[in-house]
Formats: sequence, C-alpha cells, structure tokens
Amino acid sequence: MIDWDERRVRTIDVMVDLPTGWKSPFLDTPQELLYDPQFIDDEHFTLHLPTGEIRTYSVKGN
Amino acid sequence: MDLDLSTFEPFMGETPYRVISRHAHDQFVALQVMAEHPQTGHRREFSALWDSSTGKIVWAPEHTIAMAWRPDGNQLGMLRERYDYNPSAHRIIGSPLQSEFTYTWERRSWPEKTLISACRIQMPTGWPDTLAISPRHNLAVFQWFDQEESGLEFITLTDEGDFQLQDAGLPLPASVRPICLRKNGNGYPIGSSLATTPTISLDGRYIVFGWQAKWEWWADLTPNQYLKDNTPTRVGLCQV
Repeated sequence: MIDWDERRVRTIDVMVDLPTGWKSPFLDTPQELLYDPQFIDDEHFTLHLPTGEIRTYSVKGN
Repeated sequence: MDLDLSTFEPFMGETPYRVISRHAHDQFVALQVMAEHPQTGHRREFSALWDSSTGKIVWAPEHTIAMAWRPDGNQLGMLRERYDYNPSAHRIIGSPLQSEFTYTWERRSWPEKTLISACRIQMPTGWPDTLAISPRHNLAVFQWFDQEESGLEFITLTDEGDFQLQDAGLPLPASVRPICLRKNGNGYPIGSSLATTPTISLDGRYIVFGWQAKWEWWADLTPNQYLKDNTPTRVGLCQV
C-alpha cells in the first residue's frame, strides 16, 4: 500500500486460516492468486482472496 | 457488471480476455487480448476499445499494449510500443530481446482522441502490462512484469507535458533483486511476478496492489519441489 503524499509504503500480510486438507479448487489458474483490490472509499479497499473470502482493509491499518 | 468477453469481436484474431479500464459514463471498455506480435511472432498483450453494448471494436490503434481512461472520462492514457529489429543481437538468441523494444506513454482527449502529451517510458526489465490514472489527474501508474519480478513506474501529468518520474522516492521492498533496479532511480519494483493490477484510491492518495511469493501458497513445497497429488497442504494460519 503506497501513500503517495507521504511517499510511504505499508505491507499488509494477508493471512488465512486453512482447515485440514484444504487445496485450491482452481489449480494452475489465476483464481489461485489474489484478485485485484477495489477501493470502496478514500481509505478502504476490498480484497477477494483465493479462498473465496472477501475482506475489507483500511489504508490506515487494521 | 461482468461482461461475457467470449461474445466480443476478436482483435488480432483473438478474443479479449480481460477488462483493463471502463469509461466512467458510457458503454466503452478497454480490453486486452493475448495475440501474436505482428513483427516478432511471440505472444504479447495488445489493447483496443470496444463498445460493451454491441461487443464491437470502436478504436484499435496499432502497437498499443494498454489503455485506461482518466476517472472523469475526458482523457485516455495509452502505453504504446515500438519494435526495432537488431540483427546483430540475434546470432545466438532467436526470440525478440527486451532491448529491441521502446515504449511511449500517450495522453489523448476523449472522445476526440487528440494527442495532448507523450513521453518515452522505461522500466528496469520486462514488459509493460497495464496502467491506471489518478483521480487527481496528475499521475499515471504503469505496471511491468518479467519472469520473477514486476513493479510500478510513475508518470507525472502536467499542462506543460508528461514525464516519467526517474526516482519515485519510495522505499524499496526487501524482495527486490538487482535486476529490478534502474540506474537513474526507481519506481516501485518487487521480487515477484505474481502481482495484481494497481488500484488508486478515490481521492488519489493511495495506490494498492497485492502480490504473493508463491503460486501454490497453500502447499508445503520445499524449493525446487513441484505440486503433486500427495503434496502436503498447510493447516491453520497461513500467509497467502
């Protein structure tokens, strides 16, 4: 996450809790990867994870 | 709204595979195809504009890699390439070389398509892929990819002309390898090619993209090990 005004960069570790035996149902496809983030307002964006979960993150940290 | 791109008019003999920009107020979309390069024969992304209501191509300028509208819809940014065959470079390697390509940023009015500004752009390695324009109208971001790295480069947009920022002034991530660095400054390179496209916040202050180190992030693979049916999977908290 780049704050262009301050020239700062913040990295958010995207952590998921995998149950035993979980495998990606979309092997060798782009769906095995993170989807493009989408801003919903000035400070929040959603991220569609390869597990199917959609999370909302804040640029201010959460 | 998701578009069924399989029904859209092919471009360069190929069906478009992804949307890279949508006009803010009307039905036009910028799409990309993966097509055979007309000069080199290698596979490469090319971009054109379609009318999403008819699926027909409305504008297909040559040698265009990516296009994106400014968020207000009044201007269009473009990444264009030029290939100059260098015969001396092909005594050993048959495929086209990165050094034979040069790239240009163009900003045009929309819908007139009149050229407003243009400048040469560069990246440390790899190939440009996509771009985004800030809602502030003063910045464009383009993304490049190579085999194991990718990155963002930044173009300042002004009334007097546009130019690439040689040094964006951003701290470099720990994953960066020397091949990701330019001699005269840097954009924001990373040591992975598994990256999402960049997205700019509605106020233009923040640029966000996702990236990951491994494709099979959920599998317990040792270095140089490949995925098999019996590859153990991770359990519990795991980083994508």
